[in-house]
Amino acid sequence: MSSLAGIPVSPGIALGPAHILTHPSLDVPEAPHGGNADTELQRFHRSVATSTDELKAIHAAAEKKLRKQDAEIFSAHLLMLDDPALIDAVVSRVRVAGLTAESAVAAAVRDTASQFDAMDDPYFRERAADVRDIGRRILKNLSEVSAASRADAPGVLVTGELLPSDTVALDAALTAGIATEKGGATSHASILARSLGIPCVVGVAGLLDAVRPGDEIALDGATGEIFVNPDADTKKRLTELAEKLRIRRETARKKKDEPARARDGRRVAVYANAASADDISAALENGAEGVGLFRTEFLFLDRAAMPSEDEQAEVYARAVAAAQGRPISVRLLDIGGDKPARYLQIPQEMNPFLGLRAVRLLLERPDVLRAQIRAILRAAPQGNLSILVPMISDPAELEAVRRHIVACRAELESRGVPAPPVPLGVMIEVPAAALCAPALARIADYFSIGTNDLTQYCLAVDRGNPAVASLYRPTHPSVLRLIDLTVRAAHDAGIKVSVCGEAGSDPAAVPHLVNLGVDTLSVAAAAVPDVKELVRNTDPAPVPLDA
Amino acid sequence: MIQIEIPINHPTGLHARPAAQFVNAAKAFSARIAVRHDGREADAKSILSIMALGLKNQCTVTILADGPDENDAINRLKALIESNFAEG
Repeated sequence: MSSLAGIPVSPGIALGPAHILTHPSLDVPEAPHGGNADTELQRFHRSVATSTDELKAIHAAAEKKLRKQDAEIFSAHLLMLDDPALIDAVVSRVRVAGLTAESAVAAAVRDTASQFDAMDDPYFRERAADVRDIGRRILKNLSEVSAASRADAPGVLVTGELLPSDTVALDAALTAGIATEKGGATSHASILARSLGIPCVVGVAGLLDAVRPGDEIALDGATGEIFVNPDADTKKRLTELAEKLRIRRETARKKKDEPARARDGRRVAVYANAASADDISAALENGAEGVGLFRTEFLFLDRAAMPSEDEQAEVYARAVAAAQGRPISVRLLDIGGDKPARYLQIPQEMNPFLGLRAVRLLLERPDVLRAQIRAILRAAPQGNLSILVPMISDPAELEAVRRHIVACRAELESRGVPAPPVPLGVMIEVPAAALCAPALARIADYFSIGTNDLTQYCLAVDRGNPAVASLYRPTHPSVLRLIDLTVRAAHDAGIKVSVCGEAGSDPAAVPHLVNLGVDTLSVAAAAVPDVKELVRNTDPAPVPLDA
Repeated sequence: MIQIEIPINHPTGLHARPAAQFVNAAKAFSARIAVRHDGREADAKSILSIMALGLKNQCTVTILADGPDENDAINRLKALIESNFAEG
């Protein structure tokens, strides 16, 4: 048995034979065909035809599995396969330079991809990955060895990295788990695995060297552990753990509509995070008691002009209606220079995460802020709505937002539109906000701790950067201390605290959050039943605030 | 041969999805169609060449069409750009 470790990105236990997925390398050395150029070109065109058939099937599958705009990337892939510029580049390398089809394709794809690698806009740079993806597909279909290793029994998918086309072709019924050598928490594999509920560990150094065809793999998607050919004891331990998790999940489903109390009797409310009225309906279906975070970024991204007040008001009204009288906390636009909303003309920044974003941007752009506040206030009379302000680092920012809200209410009232007062909450996601929580608690109506950003800012770790992602830990004593300060300040002032980051559904973090006194956990809709069960299984215990 | 000048209006520029729409529209015509920007020219029926122009939001391009259906081609591409690539 050998054991490896990576970044845990989707919890659960997987045990089964390794399904090794390799991608042809694009590092094919230049080799002369030394024979007939026509034969090489026939092989090339046959491979393109096969690749086109495969991609058409993938495109059709993607349209069923993914959002329309995500599936459309494959229509771009189809055009690339058939692209006159790429075909000419291959044909001239075979005819003029006398190369084999393989080395001609590899060289043409490398050249084209490097053009995109060199572009300064990240959207264009990402296209290099698309070109390499189709290049690898043509190479695969050029090789005589067909995909004989097609899996027919469930197993653990082992690969260097999961390409966009792999994620769609993947058969969830045959994939007990996924392990990849590259990648981080935000890579394709991670996002897909979480949405399909498949246990997954990414960024496993040395994975492909350690695994041979026929090996058995066991992985724990909660801890990031991977075992190659596990011994009897390890298998027994993991099988028992998997059974325990299965029973826990079943119990959780049965008790999803019951409130959650920890073993000491303390009641913890479980809310859901959402970005649409559909999300909210799904959340209530799963037993959510409210919406702790309603994101509004989607309204502003991927479009040419800012959404109007009326358009926004309609979206917020639909969300409030879907919440059926339960509390819903609408977060003001949390956007910065790293997001594509060009019409806001946010200047390019060296360091967008320390730049003009969220409340800082909104206070610079009162037109954007006030339109959003008016739209939210217009939906308020229909339900139990509050406004949450992201990225606060100083009480003065909250005061400024409150003045805008007062002005917007007066404006609406003068238009004859009812605009009742609404509670105003603060996102605690910058360490400075946690450290001055007592001052904020005096002027805020509630706190919501954004553990993802709080952890990144506290530990100075970008969790999307594989080189440092292993340092990202929401249960680090320094992060727990900031949460402790925040909860104490809130309770001293008589206001409530929720947690809306991923720590709220992390089995390692939930007991600490409960024992620190957090009132509400707001999590992904699908996680609500499991989180309630995590709360019920929490024993009172001291929280490790010392390193 | 006819040509028009037109500004691109798409928040992320002409990357994969809008470029695919543009190229698919161009391929429906028999005319030779080219896109010119910043002293470089690309075949409108080659998605790789179009994307390699790196067309960003608000930049202006010249579209040239030459062939029996050149008028229809220009009108179709102009409508697509003016609609901000709205339709799928």
